Formats: sequence, C-alpha cells, structure tokens
Amino acid sequence: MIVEFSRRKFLLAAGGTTLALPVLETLSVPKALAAYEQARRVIFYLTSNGTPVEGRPTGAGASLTLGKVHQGLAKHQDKLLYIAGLDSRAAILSNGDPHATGFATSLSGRKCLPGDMFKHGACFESAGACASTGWGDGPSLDYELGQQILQANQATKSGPVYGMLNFSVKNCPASLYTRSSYSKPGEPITPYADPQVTFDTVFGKPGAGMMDDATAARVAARQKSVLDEVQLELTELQSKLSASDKLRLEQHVTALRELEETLQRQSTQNGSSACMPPARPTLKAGNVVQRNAGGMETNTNDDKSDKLLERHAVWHKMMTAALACDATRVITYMSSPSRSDTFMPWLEGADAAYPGNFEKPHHAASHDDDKPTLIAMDHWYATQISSLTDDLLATKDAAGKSLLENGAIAWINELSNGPAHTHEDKPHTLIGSLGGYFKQNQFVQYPKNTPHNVLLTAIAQAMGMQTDHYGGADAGLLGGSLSLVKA
Amino acid sequence: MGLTTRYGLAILLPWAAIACSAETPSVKPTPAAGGSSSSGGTAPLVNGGGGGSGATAGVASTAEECKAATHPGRTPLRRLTAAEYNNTVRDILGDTSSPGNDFPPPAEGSGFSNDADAYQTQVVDVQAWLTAAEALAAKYRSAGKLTLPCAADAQACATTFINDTGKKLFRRPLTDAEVTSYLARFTAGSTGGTFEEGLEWVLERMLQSPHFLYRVELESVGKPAGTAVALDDYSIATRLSYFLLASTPDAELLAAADARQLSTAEGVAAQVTRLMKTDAFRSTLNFFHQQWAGWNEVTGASKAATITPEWNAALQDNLIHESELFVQSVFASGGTYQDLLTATHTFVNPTLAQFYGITYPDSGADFVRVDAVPHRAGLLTQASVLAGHARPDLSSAVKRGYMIRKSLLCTVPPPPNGITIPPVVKKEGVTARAVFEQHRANEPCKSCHVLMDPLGLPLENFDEFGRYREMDQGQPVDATGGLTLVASKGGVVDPAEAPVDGAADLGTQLASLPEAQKCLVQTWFRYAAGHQEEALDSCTLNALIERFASSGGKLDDLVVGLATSDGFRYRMDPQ
Repeated sequence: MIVEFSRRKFLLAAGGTTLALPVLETLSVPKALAAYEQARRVIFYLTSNGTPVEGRPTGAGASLTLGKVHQGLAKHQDKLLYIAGLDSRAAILSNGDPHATGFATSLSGRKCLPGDMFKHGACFESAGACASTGWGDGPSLDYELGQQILQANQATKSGPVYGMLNFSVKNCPASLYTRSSYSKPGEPITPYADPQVTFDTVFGKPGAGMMDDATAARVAARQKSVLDEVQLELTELQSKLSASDKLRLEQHVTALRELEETLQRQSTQNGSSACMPPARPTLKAGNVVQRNAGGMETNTNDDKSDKLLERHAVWHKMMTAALACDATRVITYMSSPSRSDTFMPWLEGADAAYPGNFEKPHHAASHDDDKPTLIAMDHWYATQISSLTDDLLATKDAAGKSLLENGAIAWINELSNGPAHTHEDKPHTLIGSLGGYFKQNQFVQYPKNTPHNVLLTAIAQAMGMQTDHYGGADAGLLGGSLSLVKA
Repeated sequence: MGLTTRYGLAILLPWAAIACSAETPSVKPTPAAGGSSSSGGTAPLVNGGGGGSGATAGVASTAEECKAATHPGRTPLRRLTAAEYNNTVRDILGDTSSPGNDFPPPAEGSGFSNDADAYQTQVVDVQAWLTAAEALAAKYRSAGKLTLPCAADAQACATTFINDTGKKLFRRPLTDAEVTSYLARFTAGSTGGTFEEGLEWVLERMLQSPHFLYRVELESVGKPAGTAVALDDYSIATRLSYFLLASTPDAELLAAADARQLSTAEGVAAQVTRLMKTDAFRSTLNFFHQQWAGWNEVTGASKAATITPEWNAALQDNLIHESELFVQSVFASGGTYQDLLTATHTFVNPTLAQFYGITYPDSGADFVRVDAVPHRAGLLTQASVLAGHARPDLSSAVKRGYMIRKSLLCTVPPPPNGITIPPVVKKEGVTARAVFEQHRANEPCKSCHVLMDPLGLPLENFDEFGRYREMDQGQPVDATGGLTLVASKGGVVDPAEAPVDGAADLGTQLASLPEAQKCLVQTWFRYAAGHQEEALDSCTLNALIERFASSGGKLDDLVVGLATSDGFRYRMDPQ
C-alpha cells in the first residue's frame, strides 16, 4: 500500500531531479548542516554486551583484516573503518553498573550524574565506588547535531522535519540501561518503539493525503490552536504549584512547543512529494520490557518468535525512508538496550561457521564468556548493518546521490569485553566516510587511555558542527588525535 | 536540573559501606522542590525504629509530635498512568480501545508503576496524547454522542456540554473562566463548521488539558509551604477512585463530593466500603499483589524439563489467575495478613487440579474453590510465585529469599559489588539446596546471602515448577531455614537461632513478624501515595501500622485506614 501524504511535504523533487533551493543561508552556517546537496547523514547503531577480542578485526593502517564478527560486513570492507583502542572514559569515571554507564555515555561522552538510582545489576569494575548513579548527562551528540541542523535550516524553512529520530527495537521503560540519547543533563529522550505509531507520526496517517488544501489547513489550524490553548492552561496552572511540580509542567510545556515546531515544519516544507515511504507497518510496539530484581529481562517471548527479526526489518526500512524523505538526517537505532537479554533462536544451525548455544540470551552468553555464541550474535548484527548499508547505497536522495555517499553508520557497543564488563578498547566501526571526512578500508589503532570523545568529536566535525572537543570537560575525556581517523 | 535525580544529588546510599548484616534503611529522606535534596540523613523508621539522631529537622515522628498537628507527606503531582487513562476514557466516554497502550512506558522506578516520580513528559508523550485525543473525539462524534437534541440553541447547549463533560473529565466543576475559554473554542470550531465539530474541538482540548492528564490539587495555593491543608471533596473523590479503581470517580462518588460527604473520615469510609465491592477494585488487588509478590514473573518463565500438564503460556496464565482469585477471596471474606500467608483454600480449574495432583471437584472447566491442596498454605506456596522465582532447571532459595526479603520485609539486599560471580551449575545427584551451599558458606558471598537464602530454603519442598517434592536428586528434601537478620527474632546471622521448618511454618512465622506487617503497610502506602515513603510520612505510617496491628492484620481495614489517613485526606507542599 502506498500512502498519500500531502500533509507531509518533503523537500524532494519528482523523479529525483535536484530541486532549486533558496540560498538564504548565512555564511556562518557550515554547508553540511544546511544545504541539501551537502547534507550529511548519520545512523548511530547501538548494540550491547561487548565483543570478544577474538572476533574483532586486526591489522594496521591500510592493512585491515576483518575478524569473524566483521565478516558479516565483508562486502562493504571498502567503506569500513575499524577504530581500535578507544575507551569510554566517561563510563569509567561514572558510578554504577558498567552496562548502564557504558550505554548512557556512548553518545554523550559525559560521565553520568550522581544519584541513588539504578541499583540493580552487578558492579564489576570498582568495588566501593560502584554504587548507584543518576541519569546520564546531556545533551548527547545525536540530539545536538539534530538541533544544529534544525537551526541551520530555520531561516530557509527547509531541511528536515526532525532534528533527530530515535528508534528502539524493544519497548523499554526509561532507565540508564535503555537511554543513550539525552536532550539535557538527566533528561533522556524516549525513543519511538512502536513502528505503526512512528510511521503515522513521521509519514502521515492513512487518509491524510486525501484532504484538499483547505481541509488540511483547517486541521493544521485546529492542532495549532489546541496545542496553544493547552500551553496556556499549563502556564496558568504552573503559577499555582510548588517548585517541583512546576518543573514537571515545564517539561510538558517544552514538549508541546517542540511538537508544535515539528508540525509547523511538516506543514511549511514545500516541494513535491516524490519520496516513497514504506508500507504502513502492521507491527505495534513489543511488550513493555520487564526486568526482575536482578535486572534480567523476563518477557523475551518476542525474541524467541520471529517477531524480532520482523522488527529489525521494519525499522531498517523506516530508517532508510526517513533519510530519503529528509524527515531527519540523524538517527539513533537502539538495536538492543544495554545488558540485553536478546535471544537469537534463528541462528541455531543457520551457519556452520558460526556455531553457538542459542538457547542462551545474549547477556548470559556474555557472562559465561561463551565466545562462539557471542561472536555469532555480533556477526549477526554485522550482517544486519550490512543489509542496511545495501539499502542506503541503493536509495537515492533528491539530489540523486546515494544516502551513504555523504553519510555513515556508526556501530557502537556499550561494553568492550563483555564478561569483564570493561570500557577499555571498545570496538568502534564506521561504514561510510561521512562526506569524505573519514578514512575507509583502514584499521586505526589509538594509544591506550584515549577517550572515545575523540570519535564523537570527529563525527561532530564531519557532520558540520564546529567543535574541537565533544563531551565532558573532565581531564580523562580530553585528548586524542583526530588525524588518525581523518582521510 | 531536571526532575530526574529523583531523590537528590546529595543522597548516595553507599551500598559497599553497608555491611549486609545491617538492615538497610527503607525510608527515604524527603526531596526538596525540584528534585534536588538537602543532605538530610535517613529518617528514623516509624515506631521506635531509630533514635532521634537521624531525624530530619522539623519532621514530626514521635507520638506527641504526630498528635499535636496534622502531618500529611509530600504530594507530588500525579499524571494518569496508561492504564488509568484507558480506564478513565472507558468510564467517561465509553471507549474501550485502550489508547494508552500506545503511550511510551514510564521510567523504571523503585516503586509501583504508578510512582509519580517515574513520569517525565516528552514530545513522544504529548504527540501520543494529541493522537489519542483526536481519535477519541472523532469516534465520540461518529457515534452520534455530540449530536445533542438542544443544538438549536447552540451556545446554551454547548455550555451545558462543557460543564457536564468538563466536570467528569476534570473531576470537579469547571470555573467560570474555564467555561468561557472552552466556549470560545466551541465557537472557533463551529464557525465554518458544524455544532458537532465545535464540541469535538472542545473534547479534544479537554483530553489534553493538564486538569485531565494530571490529578491537580489546588488546595495549597496561597498557603505557605509546609502547611497541612484539608483536601476538598472533589480531590478526595479523585484520590479514592484512582487508588481503589485506577479510574475516574463514578457518578455516586462525584455526587458524594457534590453533597460534601467526603470531608469526614466516616464519609470516606462509607465510600471505600462501597468501592471495595466493585470489579474495578478486584483488578486493583490483582495489580497490587502481582507487583508485590512478583507472580507475573511466571509469565514466559522458561523451564528446562518437560512436565504434564505442559508448561506453556496457558498454564502460566492459569497459575496467575489462581493467585488473583485467592487474594480476592481473602479480601472479600474480611481476611487478614495471616490468611494471605497461611490460608489453605485456593482455586483450580481442571488443568491446575492436574498440576497440583488433586481431583477437580466439579464437572465444568471453570475455576472453583477447593478447601485445601496438600502441603500448600498461603500465597508463597502457590506455583505462580514459586515457579516465577526459580531458575529454568533449579528451584532457587536465592530468588525466593530475595523476593521475601524485598517484598515482605522491605529490605533490598545490595547487588554484589566488585566480585566475580561463579556460575552456579546444576549437578546430578546434588540437591538444589547443596548447589547454592557456597553462597552461604564462603565470603564474599556469605554476608549478603544470609539476607536471602535462609528465607527461601523453607520452600525447598517445591521444585522449579512449584510442584511439591519430598525428594530432590534422590535425597530427602531439607526445608529448614531461618529468619535471619530480623530484629524481632534477635537479628541473628545463624538460621538455626531463628529456625523455620518448611513452607507452612514460614508463612505462619512471617505473618506474625512486626517487620512484615509494617512492610505490608509501607507497600500499600507506596501504592496509594504514588511514591516511596519519606520522613514526612512518618506520622501517617505510624498510625496505620498501629491500626493494622490492633485490627489483627485485617486487610480491608488497612485499605480503609489508608483512605481515611491524614496523608490521604490532607496535602502539603514541601518547604
């Protein structure tokens, strides 16, 4: 089914020809952030439980030998940059379960806030200091990139509708284990976990496209007025409440304002609607992930059926379409939350080269240091990223370039060595050069103790952000040579 | 700083510094406004649970201080949960589509899923509310419910609609200013459109109004912080209905509020007694006890062995339903905490009768009450709880003991720190008890596992499915354990000094422990108040614990006690 969606007018030209863009952008805005032809696109692809060293790539410089895990990406080796040696120093500086801190610092490069939350789970690294923690610090890179892109395009009323989109395969309650994107210190961003709701939000509800312009305008006016009036009610109520309750409502007001701006961008973006959204998914959100007292997921039935496979496929389509339609240029894909208890029964007997015990969930395999199973599971993620890469290469943007030509997928794990729960020498993989910024088909080795902030900084620069350092300012988070990864 | 460091930046509970041989504090200091906190220490637990030295200044906790004035605790602004939203639109608009199921889940909290502090409002939330409101209003209109016979006089008719529907959705009469504002919206919607469209615009906004989405209480407005203020009848009706029914006040409750019948404890008690007889209250009982005893963990619990009847989702659902019916029956008969942990009756259908090895006493297929199942007594011996707290291949005294320590004694054992946990592997010929022996024998495991394992071991007569057994791996089951580190039992570390032998003895002993009774009161309090107990709640909790004890542990009276307590009938903005 093809859904008409006149309400969502994407900045695309019919037949893929280039659309003349208004050239009003100010000189101070990097082109990569604004002009469509230069647009950079990035997908942060998050997985968990670490990767055994035995399965990782080896080599030096231009001599890159893929390990068993990255064999899943072999066909794209010419676009692959493997970065070894980076630590999540921000996680090491944080209190709390290494799974949680690794995940929460992956995209922020900032150590977690202090607090007395998130006590469950085992703390392996530093007895004594490893107590409880607060939320992650923020903002995170994905969110900040999105905000800058929106700002850069504000004047021209062009550019993407969403600064960033955040998708999660599993439907996880917010916790330090399940949130890597933050808009502010301690304010995690809730990802979309329901494919159908996401489709309706991003690509338009069924039938919306049947409206004539007058009706569409009336609908838009009605939505705007209701959101305005609710904001007035909130503001009036705020003045009567205690300070802590005021803050709750302040978040509500902020969210309404953001929603209004998004709807506004959706309605004012001009251009014809040639971009093709995927079919409306029939899949709803999975069960809300429940954890027992020890932090283990207890309702993993979706994994054991083929629903999880279906979910990945649906989200992959949605990601590709969201980029192609310029709904956004920054996506964070939570392929699994941290310390994921994902089962992969489909790997049983699937490939003789990748044996394993697939009765076990991922996290348990990690604790058991079951290397064959871990490598098979990570290899499966690699094949997923490879197929996403295929889609990005095959899909052209409105300027006629493939989505990967100026883009990249950044594959990031919350841990380095799973069984030991360490953050030193985490595996980092880039597919795509992000507009020529990154080396390709290379093995880059960073010296010991280099914070992964250097990679976040490089991605920020490649995306057009003007910065010399991304993330926290603590001593351990500074340093690292950008030139090692730059083409 | 957001709301997110819920209990304050300065509060770090140094787990590693707490020897596991000490009871961990379970009363949280009261956070100051904005989520940041003073560095006040942990408040004394109620009823002499601690000396004055740890008290937060200015917080009443002694009997004299509590008697001298009214002491409600902090009342955070509570947002409707997804379930409450679903029930509310079902009861007011007749919509059974459960739109809240599309709402993002709340944050993982330490309390119940109605914990006020687990809710942050983000774009995805307001987007979901917008979508739900549009769909609900459109459906209401298509169903003809906005086509009113009085529509000839549009303004008057719309005003009536705004007053009537607004009162249901906001759970109080609207102010004149609100009526004017909504009437203006009606006019905007009906201009260039129809009468119905105007009302649809009104309904859409009401469903997104903070007065609908939050349980707003304005009694403290204009009062200095720290002042105890009596709630008005409408706020009490709202608290009662969301506490007992997880939904909006029904017509009778709103009428009682109109008639100012909820300003007295007697008036409230009368409504509680009525509401406790409803189906909605039975759902609340299910929800509360499911989170308390963790019986939902049996859902999807995989098991290694094959049994008859087949271990599958249907059987797991049956086991949960058994526990639900049991809990409901204990409440309905005016039962006690003792009954909850020791009553021998239960409910079975043919599958469960087969599972428990008894004869199904009926000819149909429904659940029926049976007076006894051999070797079973009370909730802890039901397979939903036993199988939910076990490993796929082994019964687990650790999981069962952890659940008892946490849910029944309100002490959370700390996570293992800085140690590598050796895998615990099932071995042929070795009993489950012996497999976990090293937890109890050796440091560094021992000092923490003494909090858990001795409480779970009396349940060793039940295997990983919750089936009764007298032999395990060819050896007679040893179901001895002990009430270790329980103050009223001397706080002993050696289980033999506070011995428990078998499941029946465990239930009986636990039910009579003052610590367990206090914990049940605290847990119900958390559910009712929507937050963890804090120092400011001491007076309310003291009174409830006393009442519970003197009632002989009557469960329905505890609910009445909660609903008529100072904490429930008064509010206060924290200083």
